[in-house]
Amino acid sequence: MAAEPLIAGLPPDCELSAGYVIRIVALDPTTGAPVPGVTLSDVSLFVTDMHGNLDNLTPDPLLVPSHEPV
Amino acid sequence: MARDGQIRLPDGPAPTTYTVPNAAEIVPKAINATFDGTGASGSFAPTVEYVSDGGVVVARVPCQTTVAAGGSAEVTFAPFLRGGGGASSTATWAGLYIDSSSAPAILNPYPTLEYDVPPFNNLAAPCFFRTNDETMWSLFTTDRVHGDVSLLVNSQSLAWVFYAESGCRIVPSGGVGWAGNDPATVFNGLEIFMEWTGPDTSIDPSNATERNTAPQEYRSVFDSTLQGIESAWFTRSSMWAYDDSTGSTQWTLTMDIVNRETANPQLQILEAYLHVLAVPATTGFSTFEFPIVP
Repeated sequence: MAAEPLIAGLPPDCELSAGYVIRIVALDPTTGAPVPGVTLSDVSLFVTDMHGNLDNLTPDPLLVPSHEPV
Repeated sequence: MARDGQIRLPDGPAPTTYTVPNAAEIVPKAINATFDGTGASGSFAPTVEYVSDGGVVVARVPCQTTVAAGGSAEVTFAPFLRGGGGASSTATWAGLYIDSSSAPAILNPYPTLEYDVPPFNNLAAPCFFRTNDETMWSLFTTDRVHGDVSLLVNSQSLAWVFYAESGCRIVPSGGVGWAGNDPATVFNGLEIFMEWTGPDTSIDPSNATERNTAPQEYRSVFDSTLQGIESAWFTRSSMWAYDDSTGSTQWTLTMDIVNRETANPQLQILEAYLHVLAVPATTGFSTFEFPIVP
């Protein structure tokens, strides 16, 4: 079965500092409890790295580091 | 130097997490994931949570469309997206737009009798009132002379989170010092005072004691200055409120615009709006965008 495309909001301009966790979860819509048996794939986070020091960040392909002003 | 980029997380059973590493700070701009519920024990809401370093959930953003057990969904979370999916999604919010009539309202200098004439001094046509839920909202005025506009909210046995914003476009209507509204002339000292009256926004919805507190008055002030312009928009987006009442209680929300100047001339309100959005508290309201009211 093809995955249904859905959209949802996010809090805008929410700066998450060290130690904060982004958790992607499937919740029971009635109780709010996690629903077992759901698997996740192709999870991607597109973020602004405020200090530019994340070493596991795949750069935006539109940015060319060598062209950044010194 | 800030930079944008992508972080990929490994496939696996939900939940999956990403912890912001030491000395880093990030602003999520979009999160995408495929939820495969083939083996799910029941229907589920794809959800993103932000959890503080102390383990406290600071934001929980469920997709407003539930995925049935056995179903799958690819979900994009991003600011200013409305929850939902295809054409079958059901609105879970109640929105209200009030737009002013074309007739301008005059604001005399404070403290004259008409000091707080608002933009909505005629709630009959052509003042535009639009909503997607006529059972939720109705309108009345408490004082047509001074023009308070009140919303009557039927809580419909639900707890609601409310968000409201207002705006108006002001132009000097001529007089001393305004030189025929010459845009090249700079004027200082005219202030627009916009205020709300509504429930107390300091109530914490997660606090059972606070959320059962009866709504209280809340006033928000907007001050600004007109400088060498023909007209200007002033907007206010600051009204968070929470109503935990489960009966038929109703509250009001009012909006005044006041020319606080005592010496300068009249102002005209050319147009104005008051937009209110209510979302059932159980849905986890997450974006600040106002849906388009049909």
